[in-house]
Amino acid sequence: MRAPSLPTVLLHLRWLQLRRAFPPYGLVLLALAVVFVLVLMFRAVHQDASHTAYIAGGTLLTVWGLHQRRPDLHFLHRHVPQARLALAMEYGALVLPVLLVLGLAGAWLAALVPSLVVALPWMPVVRTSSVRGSWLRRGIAPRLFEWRGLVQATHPLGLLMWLAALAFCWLPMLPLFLLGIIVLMAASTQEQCEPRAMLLATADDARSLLRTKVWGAVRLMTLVLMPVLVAATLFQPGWWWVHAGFGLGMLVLVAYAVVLKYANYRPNMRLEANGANVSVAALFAILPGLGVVPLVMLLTEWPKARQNLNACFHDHHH
Amino acid sequence: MITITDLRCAYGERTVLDIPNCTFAPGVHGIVGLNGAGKSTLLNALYGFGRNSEARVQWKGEDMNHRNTAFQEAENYFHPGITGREYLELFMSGKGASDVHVLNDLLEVPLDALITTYSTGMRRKLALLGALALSREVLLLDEPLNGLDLASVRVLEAIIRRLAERGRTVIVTSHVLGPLVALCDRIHLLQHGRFTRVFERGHTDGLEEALFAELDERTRAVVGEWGGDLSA
Repeated sequence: MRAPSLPTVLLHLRWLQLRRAFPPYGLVLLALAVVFVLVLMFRAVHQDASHTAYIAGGTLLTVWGLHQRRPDLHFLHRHVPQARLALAMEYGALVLPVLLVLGLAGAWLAALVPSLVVALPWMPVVRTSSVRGSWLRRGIAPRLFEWRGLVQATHPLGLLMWLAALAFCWLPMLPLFLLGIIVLMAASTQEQCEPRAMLLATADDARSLLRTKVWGAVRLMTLVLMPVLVAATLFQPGWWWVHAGFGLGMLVLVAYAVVLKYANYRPNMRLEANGANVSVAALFAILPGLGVVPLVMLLTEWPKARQNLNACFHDHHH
Repeated sequence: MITITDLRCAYGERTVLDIPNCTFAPGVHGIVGLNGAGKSTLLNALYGFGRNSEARVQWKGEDMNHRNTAFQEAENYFHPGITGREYLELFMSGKGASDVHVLNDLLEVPLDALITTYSTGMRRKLALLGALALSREVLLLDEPLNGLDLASVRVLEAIIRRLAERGRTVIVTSHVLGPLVALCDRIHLLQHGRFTRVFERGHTDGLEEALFAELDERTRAVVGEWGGDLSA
């Protein structure tokens, strides 16, 4: 059967994936989250017109990064008719809400910058098999190998985003937005299950494995979040409670992603469905007053993770 | 000494392994059998997976599991985005682990490259180095010769022999009889999930015949019935 040749094929595919990944209420929550972020953007632009440049540039940079690192690019070029046009449509749809915000705020000139994403499919993609961020990886403990994998998958885009968050820590929302993206990238790394040999080499039993992985993740994320949040609080002392709440929420979110992985652990599998749960948890983490929900989700999954890992460590014999 | 008592494994209703009792003394043991004989199931069970609840699989009186046993599985998977060196660092980070970098002078795995760029043989060698780094008393190797070049097979044989001299127990499965006969102190013939014969080093006459007897008989019958007529 031939693949449909419409340039909207990728949009159709994304819609199907969304419907598979989320239950109907999840789609509604996701839509609400998008609207929430857009309202925040609109308010930021309205408050200070200089924010438009950061939002426009940041959007273009993010989509460029996605295009450079997307694993299915070769496949799409081989199997999808008019692949470049389909990619342009997909990127266009992705930045459309941002264009809408900038347009509503009257920043038409700045809106031209994210519009350039439709030209990205015609730009060259740099592919390399070299090891990325060697100096960063050296600071990560061997037992937290998935974080080394994260560096490989996101460097240097992740580092640039972190530097941007630090550089623009005097702005009210942008640093939190960028940190949120970094945390979601870190959480998505937890979808990939390691082989059984690596699991058993990490710890002697389920309890110490969970402790190693969760505390290791919390420690690393604290190192990522703290400098930006402390600097942001220095510029806006009145927001200390927002920064503290955000920081704690993000730490709980990463811990939840780790525990969720081990609650559903199957050797060598990629647990793509976990992404939907983490997205729901992320949504609750940023919604005011609902930050406790990810913590409840984390505590609910912890015993399941212990039980699942006990089977992997065959501790049921003891 | 490994002792096995009442070990049975089943996939659904089908019993694939049935070993009432068996012992493995320190040294190198080969397990040979045709596809589906139960070789990988046996190694998994020795490692602690898929056993029946009545089974007792012990090494020196302790339950055999990952704390006293290292296992190189037949299929090698690795977490994406890490290098060979990072993989070995994980295996060398535990208590009692040994540094295996010196062995890599012989196996020549490009440790500073991403594992995703490795060939099949390189992946097998890396998995072997990982298992050796754990420095366990028992080493289980499932088809370790698959994908290895001749030079690496010789190195692997030397490593296994050295482990046996140091009193370790190594259990190896393979489809390739030649290297296994040269390497093992004992070869256990596994057929339909049961050990049917044991061959000592230097007394392996009849091993090939015993392994293929049933297959040869079936082959003669089927090929004779087929008669070479391709027109149908």
